[in-house]
Formats: sequence, structure tokens, C-alpha cells
Amino acid sequence: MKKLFSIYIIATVLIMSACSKYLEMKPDQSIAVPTKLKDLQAILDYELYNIRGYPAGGDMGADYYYMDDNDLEARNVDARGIYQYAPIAYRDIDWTDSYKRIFYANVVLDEVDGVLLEELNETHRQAVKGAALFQRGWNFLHLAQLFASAYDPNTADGEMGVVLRLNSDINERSERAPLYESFAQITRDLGAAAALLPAENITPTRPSKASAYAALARTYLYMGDFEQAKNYADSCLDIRSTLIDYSTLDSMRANPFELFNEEVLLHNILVANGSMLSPNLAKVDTVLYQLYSEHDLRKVNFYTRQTDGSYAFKGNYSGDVNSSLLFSGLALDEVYLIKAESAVRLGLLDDAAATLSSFAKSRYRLGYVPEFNFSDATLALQTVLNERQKELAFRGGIRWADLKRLNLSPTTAKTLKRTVNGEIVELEPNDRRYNLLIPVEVIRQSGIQQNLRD
Amino acid sequence: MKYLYLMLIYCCLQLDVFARVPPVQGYVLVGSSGDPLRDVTVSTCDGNLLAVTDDEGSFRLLIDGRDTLCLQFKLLGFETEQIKVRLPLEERLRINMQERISALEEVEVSTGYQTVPKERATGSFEFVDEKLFNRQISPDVISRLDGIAPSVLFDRRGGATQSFQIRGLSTITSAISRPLIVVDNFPYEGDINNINPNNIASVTLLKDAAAASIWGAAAGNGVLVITTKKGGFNRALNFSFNANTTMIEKPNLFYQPQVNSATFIETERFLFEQGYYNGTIGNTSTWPVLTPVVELLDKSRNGLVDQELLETELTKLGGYDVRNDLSNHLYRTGINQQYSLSTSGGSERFNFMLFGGYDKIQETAVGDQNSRYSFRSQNNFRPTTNLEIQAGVTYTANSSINNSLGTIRLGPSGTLYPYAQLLDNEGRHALIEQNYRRAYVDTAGTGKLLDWYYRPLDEMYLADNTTKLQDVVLNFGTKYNIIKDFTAELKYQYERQITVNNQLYDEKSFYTRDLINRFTQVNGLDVERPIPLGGILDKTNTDLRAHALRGQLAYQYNLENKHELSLLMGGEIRDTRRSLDGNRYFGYDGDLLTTQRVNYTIRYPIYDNLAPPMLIFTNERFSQQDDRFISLYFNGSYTFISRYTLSASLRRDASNVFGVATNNKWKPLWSAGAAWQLSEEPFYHWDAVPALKLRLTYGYSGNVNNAVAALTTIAYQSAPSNLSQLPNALIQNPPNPSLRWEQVGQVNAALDFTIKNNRVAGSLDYFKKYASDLLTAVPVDPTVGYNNVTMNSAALNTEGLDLMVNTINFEGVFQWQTQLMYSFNKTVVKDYLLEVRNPSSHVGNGGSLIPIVGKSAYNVVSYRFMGLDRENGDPVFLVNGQPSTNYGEMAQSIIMDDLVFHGSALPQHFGALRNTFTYKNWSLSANITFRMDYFFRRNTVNYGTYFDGEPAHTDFYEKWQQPGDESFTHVPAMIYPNDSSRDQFYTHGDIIAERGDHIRLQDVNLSYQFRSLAKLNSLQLQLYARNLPIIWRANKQALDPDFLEFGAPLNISLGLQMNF
Repeated sequence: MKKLFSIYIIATVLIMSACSKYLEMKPDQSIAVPTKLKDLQAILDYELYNIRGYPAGGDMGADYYYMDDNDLEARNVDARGIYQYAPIAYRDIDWTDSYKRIFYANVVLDEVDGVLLEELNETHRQAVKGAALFQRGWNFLHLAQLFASAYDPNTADGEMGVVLRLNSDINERSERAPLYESFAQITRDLGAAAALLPAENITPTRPSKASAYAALARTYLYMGDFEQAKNYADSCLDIRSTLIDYSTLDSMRANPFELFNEEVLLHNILVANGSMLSPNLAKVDTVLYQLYSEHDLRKVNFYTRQTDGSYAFKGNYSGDVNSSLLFSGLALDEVYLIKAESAVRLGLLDDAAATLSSFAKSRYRLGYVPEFNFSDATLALQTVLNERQKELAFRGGIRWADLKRLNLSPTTAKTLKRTVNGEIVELEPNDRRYNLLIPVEVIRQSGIQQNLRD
Repeated sequence: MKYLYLMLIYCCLQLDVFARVPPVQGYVLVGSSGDPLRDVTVSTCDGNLLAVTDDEGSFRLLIDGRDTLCLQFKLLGFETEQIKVRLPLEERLRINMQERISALEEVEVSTGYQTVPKERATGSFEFVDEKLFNRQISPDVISRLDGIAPSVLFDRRGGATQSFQIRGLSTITSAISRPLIVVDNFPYEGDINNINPNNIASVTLLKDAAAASIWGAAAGNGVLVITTKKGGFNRALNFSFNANTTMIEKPNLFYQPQVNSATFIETERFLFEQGYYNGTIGNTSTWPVLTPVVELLDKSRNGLVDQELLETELTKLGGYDVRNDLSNHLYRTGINQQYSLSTSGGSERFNFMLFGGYDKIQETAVGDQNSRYSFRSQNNFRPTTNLEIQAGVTYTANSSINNSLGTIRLGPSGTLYPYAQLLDNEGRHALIEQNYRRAYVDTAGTGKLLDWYYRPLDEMYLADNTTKLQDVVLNFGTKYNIIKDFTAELKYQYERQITVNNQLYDEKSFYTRDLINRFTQVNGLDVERPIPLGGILDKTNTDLRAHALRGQLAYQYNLENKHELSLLMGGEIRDTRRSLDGNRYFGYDGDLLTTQRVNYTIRYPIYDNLAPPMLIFTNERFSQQDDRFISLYFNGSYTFISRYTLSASLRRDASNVFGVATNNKWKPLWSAGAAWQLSEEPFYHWDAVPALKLRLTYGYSGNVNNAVAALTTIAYQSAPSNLSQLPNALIQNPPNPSLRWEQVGQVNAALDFTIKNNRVAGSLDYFKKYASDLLTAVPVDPTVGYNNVTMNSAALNTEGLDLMVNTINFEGVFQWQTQLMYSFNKTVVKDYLLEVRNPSSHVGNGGSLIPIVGKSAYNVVSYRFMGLDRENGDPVFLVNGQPSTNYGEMAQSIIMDDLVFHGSALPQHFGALRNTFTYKNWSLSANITFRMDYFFRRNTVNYGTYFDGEPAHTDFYEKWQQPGDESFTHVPAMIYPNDSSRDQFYTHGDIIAERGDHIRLQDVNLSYQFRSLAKLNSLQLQLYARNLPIIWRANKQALDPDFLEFGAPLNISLGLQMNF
């Protein structure tokens, strides 16, 4: 018997060692541990997460639309809460999806320096690394604009920012960095990305140097660093500057804009709760609609009249028709407006006027393009902000951040008002409700500090 | 066929070649009747097998060089005989064997590795013999087990038919919750429906750890061992023919009570007046479907139809019920036909079995049918007394056609209105709105587009969806008796299953016409069609390839029945690869076998901007999965003086669970058991209970889930990314280095007994299962990128009882036997880390696990209904201890105590009582099954889905209409606009949950046995009926809790079985 057992044990040892190769087989051929550069590129090209699902919480609270009471009643509690500035309302998905994209970026960044290139070369490696850095910085930016206070350079060191996750280790504890540090990381990531990325990319679902510059311009504008904002806007426009001439569009179409239109630098899409921002529900704010002059081509290309007399948005830069999934990426028109505003802020009024003029050519009917001749800085700012509001309404990720930063100055501050069931609810400038609540589960699991409420 | 003849000639030759010395010849008879007795094993008194009697009861032995011989004759159900003879013999021996009247099953059960006599086993086995298995008639193996095997519970939640459990659930992951199915020696990797039930000799269930743990990491959910028929040495040539036909009642579309068409139209009218359809009517960009009534009302509003005509039309429509048309044109009586012929026989050195079967299934859905050809050959060759070689082949060809229409919808989501007609007044196939509004389709394209109408009955004849499956299993084995008590065995099996699915969308089908039209661009006279005319063919190939190899060494030692030792050890390697590829072909012409190219990279505008520009969908798919296993196992048992048995088994498994270091993949699992034949003790004098045996086992088995990995893994998507057409990959899971297999520990204590002169025999098993390390999602800080991560974290405890009693009530010309089976099992959550923040998310129908520690795992949970509000007929629910109608806030504010936990959605007590009466040649057997202590949710009014066009439940007529109604109804008032959360609460209120308990006359089998009819050995005719009426049920709605959709369809079968 003893002999048999020893045979058994020897057999065990032999089989175990011989079989390790046999057991290395992947159970599913479509599964891989990312070891090649093309694996990392494929991760970043996973559109369902990395292109779609950008935060919508700010846009759901933005002032460019309103909803009928009945329609609002049919939304869920959180959607309704965000709409009417309820003190307790959550947009968990804005947090979780952004951090999922950051996890994707971090997986790439953790591996990119060591992976096999195969038929690709170092330039490709740089581009993949740049794209991952861009994705991380770009998502930190969205998070910081939604979940932290407006950026005031004087106080940014003492304010709470966002959780800066810089690697893919899921065991690392989350902590909120100061706001100053959060923005330093954003500009670091985007800056490094700009250095690595190709000037233009093969498709707008991948970032490029131009989109990184645009993102930096947006970031610095939000931070109130107008010099840098203008510089990066210029750098972007050096690469690409052609706007669509709106007079060439067919305004009768359900959406006059096509997917990947000429102005699109980076294609991203947001997703709101329960079709909150869909054209059937989100009616164009009447004051906003009044802002467009008769000859403003945006009036017919962006909006369509509904049977009840209200207006619906149709000019989605995503190319989608009748969709609640608003474009939430980067486009050249924004860069023009960043440049113009920064110039005004820096006192370069002629520069601003010139920029606005070249922009407006493509937006107004021929012969009706307004003349921009600025002598008064306040008026100039008002003009450029008006254009900005008209151009970038229903463009995801912009208006809420604009409200936050403009509220820092009493001259540009605005009190938001919604009428719900005959009652008016207000959101005063710099109200703490401008900072969305961090998901309860995050607070519970990580112990980080929740945003304050009054 | 040629092969068969050769083989037969070969065996005949064999018989004579070896007949050199005068053989020992004899025959065995039944003592009471004098009938010849077949299948008696003839061996020497010290246990060496010599022969088996044939159909005439005769045997023939070749013995040389001996003067005396001690022979032993053994057959289950008979007293064993021993005789001593002097050689050479003068005449043929005549042996009379006495029947033993006993209700005790004396069988050898197969574990897939070895066969063990049940009375020597410590573990819990359940044995279903051929006779019992064939008592049921069905084309598949699994459904024949329903109601005849204790502890097997068919899980009918969600209308499943083949889903079953052995002793409850031991995992949370439904993909790995099926018991392991072993056919002969190896796990069956192909489709279980390939197996022809007419070729099955027995089915054994391995229930406890001692029985199942030999299967190690795959045995956590129990094991089902299917043994196919085989030939035997020294058997006369035998043919067996089997034919049966089953008729299956067509589904009763009227089973679910729904409001009549006139009421439905009345509601549509009400909604129209409220402006409910205005948005849809006003949508001139995508032109969504409007029902004919809404179109009429709209025309009337616009003055295009006068009032009188409107009323006449509406009254006419109100008289139709589409269920009549559906029932007449889409359904029919199902017919299953089964034919099989088998032959077997054997000489001293060779035996064979050949089986051929043909099955044809005409499904109740018109357009669906299935046919299966099965062929099986199994040969054993014994060139010398200590070597046996076995080889076999099984071939299955299955062809199924799935052309039935399924549920007719108005588009991707819309439900068919109840007043639709499938035939128009002239008897032609009628149009039904599909995807777009009729008024739009009438004018779209101004003749430039293809016909854009949808005619359901046309579609049924245009459909061409066929699946052809071919499965081959080759097996080969040798068994060598090395020295006296040692046997070495080697077994190999190869399986290949190829499935080809062709789904052809005919050029004339709506699918194709619609797709072509959507992509068509009309510019003046120019018509451009990016999708060419012609059919669209989706082709999918799946390929399964499995190898299994096993080497095994067995040692049997028996010292004068004092010490019996049986040891078994071996190793096994299995490799299964499943691959799939699929593609789509446009412009397919089935006559010329040509296709046409399309451009997949251009985003084409959609006709009339019905949708944003789109790419043409390629439907290209590839996948490949590999499962690899290596296992080493040991199994031993020792019995002392036939009274005390100890058993142990040990198994180590390794698999290619992705990303785990090889060493960690090796998982040891073990079991130990003891049995005590108490009634054999000298001090035992309890005459009422002549046999009593106690068993106790403990051990572990596991569950494997190769879908979870330990390193960061990415999954390439088989389609390029939607927008940019780039290869793309999803990160499947973050790293999980501590990944382990799920583990199921089980303790089993049992009692086997016979009482009243063996007239009553039975067993009682008590078990407790501890399933731990179950893979489930665990919440993590979502900031890491995941809300939860799958880890070995949960645990379930199951406790239960299996009782089985066989009795022989009458013996003689009139016989009456009874079998009672009763099982109880209850699964409770022991550990679950994923906490649910919001108590109202527990509310449900028990389809998924309720993660509350201490609660029954699959629980039906409801909101507590407090009656209707007397002012407005709103349903009132308990929220935070208070009655409330604030549905918007309710879901957030509900606390645990507000909820009603009804109980398990799976029956916790179940079983069957089977009585068999035999009088002369007649035999009648009726099986009454019961399923107790569980709950289900019935249907009721859901105003939201009703407004969306789904006919409401007849509870609608009971709705609250004015104050005072609340005293006799609980159906809420209809309100406009509807509040979907109010529906959600009401339909999940505790008053809508019902007890599922019921007793059913599951089936009846009446058979007549012709004896010795001309040249036939036997001929049996069978009449079998299944799904007979429910005898008793707890619910007052007269619902069948197990067949909620259409009720249980009656099956009636007629069968014939011949042996010659």
C-alpha cells in the first residue's frame, strides 16, 4: 500500500509540474491581460465608457432650459431634485462614470511604458500615453467643476477638491486633494498630454494636441488665468481654425449638424437621468431664445418650434436626432469664444473684437453680421458672454461651470430661478448647492468628506 | 450495415472456436412460475464471474481441469443460490431461484468512476432504473426526471422548463448553478438534448459529499450520472423496438384574463381625449406607430371621418379578439414522435449494442419543428480473461426549424392591440402597423421604395431559420486485470459538436424590406440602395471540441467477507474548446448562391432622416473559450464483517482559471463517511424492522467559474467601435489575486430501513450544506472605478430532509405498490457583503437573491398594502410605519419593517406519491406531486403598460370608481396622467402575492403487457397522460403557479415497446 501512495504522490508532483503550461491557456480568447500597446489603445477606444456618459448633473441644473410640471413629475426623485436645486439630490453616475474613465486611463498609464510595441512604434506609444493622460485630466476637470467650489486662486488652497487617483490599484484609499492641487494635476495631465499627442488625430473620438490645447484653454478660463487661456486657445487655433458657415446648413433637417462635423475637436456625449435633456422635455429657456436676433442663423439651426409653441433644441453637435444625449466634447467655436473672452479680460479689446468678428461671420446671415467695436470693457464682456451663452447652450459640461465662475464676480453673477408647480425656487450665486453631493456609497466606503450644505 | 453482419458472424465464430472441452450447461428458472430467468450472473462461489443467463435462462461455461465446481447464481430480487457439482456433467443443470419479496432497491449505482452496490455505500445515491425512467414519455432526458426522483426540484421561476436543482442551490451565479451531468464516464459537454432517452439504462443522482465529491470542483450542485444501455457477454441476440407519439395541447392564449377589445378601445378613446397621443401624432420625424383606433379618432378630430362612421368602425373593431386569430394561425397541437430500434448480444468474448433512433417534434408554434437522428454503437471485446477493450461511437444529427412568428409587436416595443386581425375581410393576410405610422408608410417614397407594409402571416412563410447540429462522441477504454486484485483502466473520450445556424431574411420579408428602405436615398429619379436587393443571411457556426482522458487503478480485496477493501485512484485531464463565428451576407440569392458587397465604413443617411446617419450593421462575431481541467482522485472504502464501512475520497482539481498562478489553481476536496449495518449486530432483535442501516458522511465539493479572473483582464469586443470603427476592449475586471473556487461542505446523516417482512423499505436523509466562498459582487469605493468587485465573499446555508418509502401493499395476481417521496430544503443567506442601501430594492418576485443574512435566499417581497384611499381610490401603503400615498418619495422612505417577506419563491416542501396497480397484464400507475411552502406573484392591472397599449388584466373591471368602492375592491382607480410608481407599488403589493402550494395529478400511465406473443418476447402498449388537472391549490385565482403564462399543456402519449 505504501508503494502505491508514493506512486500517487510522485504522479501528483509530476503532473502538476507538467501541467502548468497546459493550465496557462486563456479561458476566453477575447480576454487578455493587457501586455501590448494595441491592447491599451483598444481600452481607450472603448467608446461605451470613454466617449459616452460624461457628467450631466450640471447641465440638468443649467438655466438654458425648463420643463413642464407634468413632465418633471414623471422624472425620478434625483432628477427632479437636481432640476429644482434640492439640497439633497444625487448624480452618483457623474462621479462613478468619471472615475471609471480615470481607472481606464490609469490602467493604460500603469502599463504603457512596459508593453510590447509589436508592429507599432515609439510615436504610437507616446500617443497612447498622451491620450490616457488627457482622459485623466479631462475627467478630473469635469469632476472638479461639478463636485468642488468655483476656483478662486486666492482660496483654492483651502478648498476641497476631488480625489486624485493616479494609479489603477483598487486598494488605495481615496482622499480629497485641495482644490489648488486638483487643478494643478489637471493642468499637469493635460499639459503632458498636449506634448505627447499628435497635432490632429485620425478620429475625433481620440484626443489630439488641438483638443488638449482646447481643454487647457477651458481649464485656465475656469481658473481665471486668462493669459494662459488665451495662449492655449491660440495654440489650438494655430492647428485648426475653420468654422462651419451656418448659412450653408440645411436648417430644415431634423439636425443640421452631422456626426464629427468640421468644428468638432473631441467627440463626447453626456447621459442625463430619464431623458431629462431630451428635446421633447427640455424646452428652450424663453429669455435665452429672445437673445438671438432675427438674422442669427443659430436660431433656425439650433431650435425647432414645438406644437405647443415652445422651442426644442435640435442642433446637437453629436449629429444625433431627437436625442437626449447632448454633445459634451470640445469644438472650435468654444475656443474662439475662450480667446475672445480672455482678450477682453486682459484688456485686449481690439483683439477680442477681431476674434468675435471672424467667429460671427459664420453665424449670422450675410449682410447682418454685427460689427464689434469695443471701447468699453464691461460692454465688451457682456457681448462676449452673450455670444458664449447663445453659442454654447445645450453643449454639455459648459454652462454650469460658466455660472460658477461668473458668480465669483458680482457684475456677472446670476440668480437662477425655476418655477415648479407655481412656486419659484431660486439658486443664489455661490450657493453651496452648486457643488453636487458625492455619492453616499463613496462617503461610506472611503470616509472622504461630503460637500457641505447650508 | 455491412459492419453489423461482419460483427455478428464474428461472434458466432467465436462461440464455436473455443468450445473444445465439453461445456457446463444449464438453465435457471423462476421458482414459483417455472419461467426462464435471464440476466442471472453465474460465478464461482469465491466471486469470479463466469457467465450471464440469456433469454431462455440458459448458460454455458467452459471449465477444464477440474473435478468439482462451486457455482453461485445471483440476481437482484431473488435469493442467491449456491450449488456444488461434479465434473464432467451428465446432463444440463436446472436451477430454481426463489423470488425475494422486498420493497428494498438492490442496485449497483454508478458514480461515473466506478459502480458500487448501494447497500455497501456510505453516501446518498438515488437510483432511477430503466423501467421507472421510461414510465414517462418525453423526447428529452431531463423532463423525465420530474416527479420521480426525490430531492430533484424543477425550478419553474420565469417559465423555465429544464432548470433543476438537487438539494437546493449552492451558488449565487446562475450560470454555474446546474448540477453536473455525466454520461457514462465523463461530463457531457454538448447539448443535453442530444441524448436520446430511449437509450438510457439508468440514472443515478449523487447527492451528498461522499457520493459526489469524487467529482470534486464541479460537483457542488450535485451530480446526475446517466448510464446508457450496453450489451452483455453471453447474451443471445436481442432486438428491441420502441415507438411513441405524444400530442401536446396548444397554449391557451386565453389563460391570462384580459379586458375585452371594446373596453380597450374605450380606454384608448379616453386617453385620446386627454391628449395622451398628441406627442406621437405630432411626431413627424420618426413617425411612430399609432393604432387604428387612434388614427380613426385623429381623423375624426380633423373632420375627415364623420361621427357616425367613427362609431360604426369602433363598434366593429370592438368585436374582434386577435387571440382567436393567433390561436388559429400561429399555434397548433404539438406532436412528438419517437422511434427507436436497438439490438444487443454477446458471446463469451465479445458483446455489442447498436441503437438507432428517430425523433420528430412538431412544436405547438406553427413553423417550429425539430428532428433528431441518433445512432449509437457500443462494443466490448474480451480477448483474454484479464483484458477487456471497449469502443463506442454516438452520433446525433439534429435539425431544427424555428420559423414561428413569436410575439407580434408594433415595433421594437409596442404591444399588438387586441382588436387586430391577421386576415382581412377578404381572407387575405392582413397588414399590421410596424415601426412606422400607417399613414406615413402609405405615402413614403412615392413608389421609389420597396413595399413597406408588414403582414404577419406572410412573414411566417417567408421565415427561414434553421439550425443543424451534429454531434459525435467517440469513446475508447481498456481494462486490464494486472494481478489478482488489481485492475488498471484507461478511458478516452472525444466529442465534437458542430452547430450551424442559418437565419435567412428573405428579400420579401419585412426585416429586409425595412432595412433596404431605411438606407435608400431618393434624389429625384435616382434611387440609391446602399443595401442591395436580395435576402439577408446571418450565419453562425458554433463548434465544440472536448477531449477527456482518464487513467485509473483499482484494488479489490475480500478476505472471506470479513475484510473488504476497495481502493481506486486515478488522474484525469479534460479540455473543452467552444468557438463561435458569425457573419452577415447581404443580397443573398439562395438559387445562385451569390451575395453582394456592402460598404461597412460609410455612415449613410437614413431615409427621410428617420434616424441619424448610420453604418450598416455587420453582425460579425468571433469567440473562443477554453476550459481545461486536470484532476487527481482517490476513493477508498473498507468494510469489516459486512457491518461497518468506512469510506474516504480525496480529489485535487486544477483548471485554467485565468490569471491565477498555477499552484493556486490546485484545490483539494475531500469527503469521509461511515455506515453501520445495525441490524446485523448480534444484539439486534427488533423483528419489526429486520434491516436497519445508519450512514453519516461529511465532505466538500466545489463550483468552478472560469468567467472570473485574478488579473486585470480586458475583453476585446468582436464588433469595431460604433463611432470610429476601431478595435476596442472592455476592462473586464480589476485584479483579484485572492480568487478561489466556491466551496460546498455537506454533512449527511441517514437511516435506511425495511419493515414488515421487507414489505416496506425506505430511507431518510438529513443534510446540511454550507456553501461558502461564493463569488458575488462586493461593494467597494466607487472612486476606484467600480461600484463593486466580484470576490469570494458570500455564503449560503441549506438544510433539508429527503424521505423515500417504497411499499408493497399487495402481492399476487393483483399487485399494488406505492412510492412516497418527500423532500424539504431551505436555503438561507449566511453571509453577504453587498448591503442594500434602499430596503425597497428588496421588493421582487424571488428571481434574484435577497441579500439579507438569515433570510430565505429567494424571497418574494412586497409592499404592505393598506387598502384604497376612500377619497380618490389611490392605493395606500405602509411607509415608515405610516399609511402613505406619496409614491414619489415612498421608494426612498420605506424601511425594512414596512415590507412583507412572504417566503421562498422556490417550493421548500415537495415530493410525490406514486401508486402502481398491476392486475394480470394490466398496469396502472398514477403520480401525484406536491409543491408546498412557496409564493409567486400573479398578474393584475398595470395602468402604465395598459396606457402603452398592453391589454389590462380583468382586475380592471374591479377598479375603484367612487367613494365606497374601497370596501369591496383593492384595485386602484384609473387616473390620468398615470403615475408609474403608483403602478409599481400596487403590482408589488402584498395582496398580489399568492401562495404557490398545490397538489397535482402529474401523470398517469396505463400499460398492457402481452406475454409470449408468437415470436415476440414481450410487447407492451402504453397510454400516458401528463399535466393533468391540479387537484388542490392554495390560490383562489385558479392559477397554475408553475405555468403562469398559459397553464400546463396536457400531453397524451401512446407508446409501444417490443422485444424479440
